[in-house]
Amino acid sequence: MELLPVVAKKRKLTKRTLKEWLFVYGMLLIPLIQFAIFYIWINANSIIMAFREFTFEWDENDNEIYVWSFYNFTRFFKEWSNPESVIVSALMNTLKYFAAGVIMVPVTFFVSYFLYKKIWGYKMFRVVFFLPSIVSAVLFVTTYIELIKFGGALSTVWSWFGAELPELINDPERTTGTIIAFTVWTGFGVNMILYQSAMSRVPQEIIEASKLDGCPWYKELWSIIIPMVWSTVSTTLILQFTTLFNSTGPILLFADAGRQALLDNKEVTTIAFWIYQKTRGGVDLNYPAAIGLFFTAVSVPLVFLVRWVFNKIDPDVTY
Amino acid sequence: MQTAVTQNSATVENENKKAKKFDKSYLPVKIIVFVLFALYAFTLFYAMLWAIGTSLKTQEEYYENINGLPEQWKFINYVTAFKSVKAGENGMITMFINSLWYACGGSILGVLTSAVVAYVVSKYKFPGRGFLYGLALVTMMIPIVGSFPSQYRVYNMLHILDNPMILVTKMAGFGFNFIVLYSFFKTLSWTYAEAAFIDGASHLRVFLRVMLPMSLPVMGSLFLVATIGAWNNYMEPILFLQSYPTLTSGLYIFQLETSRNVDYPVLFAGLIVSVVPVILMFVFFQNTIMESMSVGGIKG
Repeated sequence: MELLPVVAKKRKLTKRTLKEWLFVYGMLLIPLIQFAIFYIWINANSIIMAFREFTFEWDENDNEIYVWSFYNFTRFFKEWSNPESVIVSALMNTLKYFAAGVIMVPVTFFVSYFLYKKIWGYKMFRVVFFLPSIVSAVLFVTTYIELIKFGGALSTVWSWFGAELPELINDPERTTGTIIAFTVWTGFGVNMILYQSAMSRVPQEIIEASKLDGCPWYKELWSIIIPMVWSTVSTTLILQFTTLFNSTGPILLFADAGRQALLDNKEVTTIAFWIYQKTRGGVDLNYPAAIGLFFTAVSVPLVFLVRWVFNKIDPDVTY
Repeated sequence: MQTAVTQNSATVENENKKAKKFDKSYLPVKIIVFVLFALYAFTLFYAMLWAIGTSLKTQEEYYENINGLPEQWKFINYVTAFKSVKAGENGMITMFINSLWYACGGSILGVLTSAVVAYVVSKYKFPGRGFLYGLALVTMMIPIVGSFPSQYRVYNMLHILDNPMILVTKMAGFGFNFIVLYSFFKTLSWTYAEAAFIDGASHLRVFLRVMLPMSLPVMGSLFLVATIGAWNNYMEPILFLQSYPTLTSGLYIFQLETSRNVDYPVLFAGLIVSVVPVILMFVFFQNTIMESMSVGGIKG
């Protein structure tokens, strides 16, 4: 058994113990101050901001004057009741990105399974599929925009079938779908590596035994691989739910020089991107803070509920 | 005895037949999946090659033949990119330096701080130890939505907004790095430290001279992953470091500033240059990067 500097048993506060604690707390001092400022203060400030209203008055030092108020929330619920409002539209788009992310989990799982099965060229595929995760989104988005625009590669392929590719980015009704398509196109990345890593830890004896029993590939996948790597799959699904209201795509990058209007288009925005844009604007920051707080409050119980559900259905396989 | 051997070999033969039968049923699926994978890989390859090809065209050629290969390979576009690509007053070299300190500096600080916290929490028993470990787990689970407005205000108050001092925000001791390093230190034998203590080494010396060097491979892989993430991050530099554009944020700003007169081949030359350091890191440390991305502490 490993020995720790301070043994588990209760003991007297000796000079040695004090020395150890001095070292420990000395080491923790800066990280804890950092945590207090950049986690606790920032999040506490988010809550405070949500309940403060700008009076449009300034004090003698030119500081903005705020008062305690529920105004941000009443404004939010008023907007919420209007189906045409930015917030409702942003929420719908956020859910679309979230749904795409959830759908990508099983798709990525299947991709990982066939890479794990060492399909022809699996080493090359693994690297190529992972490439969008390491290459800057700015390069990929700029290329994607060029490929799908009129005269680009996609419209050329489209024309081979006698059809004309519709306007994908400039038509706000299609923009979100086009950006989601981009996130799907470049979205295998890290989860693919996680699943493959989990699959590689499944004991080969079990796979060999199932092969000798004539177990077909889909049974191997369903009855062996999925139960044995379920905790990895459930973790990635829980992570999807953790980022539910933060689900978004690289909307900013799609709004290049000729498309700045996209940034304020309610058909395109998401909750996270709307808050980001409001922050970039630098004014009226309390309202987005209130909206962030509301969606955080909604997602906390949701995440814990999802965790509880997934723990319940965990096959609890040990090997 | 001989009958038993014959029976055994018949069983093995049957088993092999079954195994072969399995392979046969898998073959059509394997072919379909391979075709799908090849098509998908082709689209990614094509996009990368298209971007490289475009970076070597003339502006006229780009407009006249957007999908074709360049007639003359204009490598001069890369030189032009270094001269003319600008975000505000910042050229490519400045942006590269900004990327370097933002990505590498932030990652070093983040990994080192996590190593310090993970080491003391995993190896020492002290009041508050369990609380700190729980705190690390809980903060990872709480889904905070939209803290940008508050971050903006707090950074402004601390005068680190639009300032390289913003790197202090990266010195987070908890999170993913903490979990990985905590697991590492937890399994690292304490015998080495005990030997050093007997030789009269202090706690700090043991950490710096004995334990930290042993954790360098893990820290290195975490550093690589963090650096790639920070190098490609464009949202934070655009919001918090407006006067210090990185290559990633700067090239987006360049597109906006040049408006409709953007020279696409030069822009793509700049974009290709911006991803070269990350590609090189991936080429040299491919396995390390992939392994460290898969050690999210996930059982299965």
